[in-house]
Amino acid sequence: MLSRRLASIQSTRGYATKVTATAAEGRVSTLTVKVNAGSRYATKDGVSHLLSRFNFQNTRSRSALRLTRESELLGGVFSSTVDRDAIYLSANFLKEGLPYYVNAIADVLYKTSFKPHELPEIVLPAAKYDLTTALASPYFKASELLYSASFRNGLGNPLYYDGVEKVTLDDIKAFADKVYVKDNVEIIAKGVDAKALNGFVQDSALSQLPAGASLAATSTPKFYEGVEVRERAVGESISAIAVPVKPADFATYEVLAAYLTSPLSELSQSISSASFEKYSQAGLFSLYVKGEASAVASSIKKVVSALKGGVNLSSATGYAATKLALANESAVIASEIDVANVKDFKLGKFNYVALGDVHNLPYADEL
Amino acid sequence: MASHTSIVKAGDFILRTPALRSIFVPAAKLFCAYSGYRQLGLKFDDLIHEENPTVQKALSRLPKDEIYARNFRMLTAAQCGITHHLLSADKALKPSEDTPYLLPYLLELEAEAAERVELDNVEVAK
Repeated sequence: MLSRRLASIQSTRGYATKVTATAAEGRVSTLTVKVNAGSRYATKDGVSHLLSRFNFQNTRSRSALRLTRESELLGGVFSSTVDRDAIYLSANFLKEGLPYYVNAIADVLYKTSFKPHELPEIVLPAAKYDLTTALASPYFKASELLYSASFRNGLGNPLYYDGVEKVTLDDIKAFADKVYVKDNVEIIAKGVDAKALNGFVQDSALSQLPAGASLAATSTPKFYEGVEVRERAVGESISAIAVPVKPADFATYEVLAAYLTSPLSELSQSISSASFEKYSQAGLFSLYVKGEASAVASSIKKVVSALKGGVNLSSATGYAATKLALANESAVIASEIDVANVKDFKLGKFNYVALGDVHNLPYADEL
Repeated sequence: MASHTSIVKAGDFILRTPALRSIFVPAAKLFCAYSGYRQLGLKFDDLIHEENPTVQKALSRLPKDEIYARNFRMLTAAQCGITHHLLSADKALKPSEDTPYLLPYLLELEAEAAERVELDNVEVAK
């Protein structure tokens, strides 16, 4: 890999929480706690987003303000993000701050006080902000529709809380009790000494987390293909296709996404964005064409017919491997996909979303 | 202005000191009984001056049923005032019902504000 990784040590000694520590040069460490509590595991729509926003609020040991100010003095920063798979609580800090940050994140998991006023005063406005900024992008709207068309439940759940299904504080608390358990939590640290980290984790509230089952998906969810969704919206039009992917085909689609967005492919001129998002046991390849409706219509027709005719991906494996390695450098968990043996790709059944000026956008059967 | 925190602190000191307690507790009970707000159906916490940001914030944090009950007591008291009537003994508030429902929220808010001031003025020793 590109960085000089000294050692990567994994351990589950003494407690069920998995700890992965990677030593690295430099003064900065990163500590991430991955909780299998993404929107696919949500008991109610949006509850995992609200829980993610509840992280780093008041705990029984220190208030949110104190946590922020103390961390600022130590030169570190916290963040809590949610995706379909997991909630990530992460901290970036100077190496010597490790014990403080292990403790702080442990307290968030174990001792968050969930005060009733925090929900309307802090968490809901923050959640609303997330949703509003996300919805400003037609890509996000289209991807939400593609996910819900491809998976319906689980991965198809909305990523953010939208208020359609009411979530109360008790729902959030119950969800937190369910997901913040030993087996469902994984600690990933970069730039720290593994032995020291293990010691601090043992001493922190992380080792007091209740035992409970891991929620992580163990089987591939059911896929739905050939679904078409059309939605009128003001603004730029977007036509998108998506293919739900089994873990065995991850490499093909990884290369395909890299190929279609690179100058190696002639289609890259017509495609606005193509991405392959990997989750545990399933992935979704999606391709977007955005712009003025009539231009979108001709572009998407061209792209889909070219993909149906088949594309040779062997020229792009090297490019995809480099791209993957670069992404792994900054990723929380490096994905181990071997793209070397990918040959060609032919588009079969897919899901289709037309968003915007749907009157001028093609139907799925016209593609 | 004395904060609620300092008043509660003084109150706790009096309760802890037997000599002071034996004087102040009966006097306070007598004062509350004779000040007459219970005969208008009010609780002591209803009398707290509410036109300031701290109390407004505390009121916004009250549970729905508490705020409903508070508004009902206020309306009752206003009606009593307009009609120059006092509530009959069975309808007047009993001392056991005179609970400090707002005070915990005020104390929490004042603690938050005090913590903020403390952290704003913290000096880092190297």
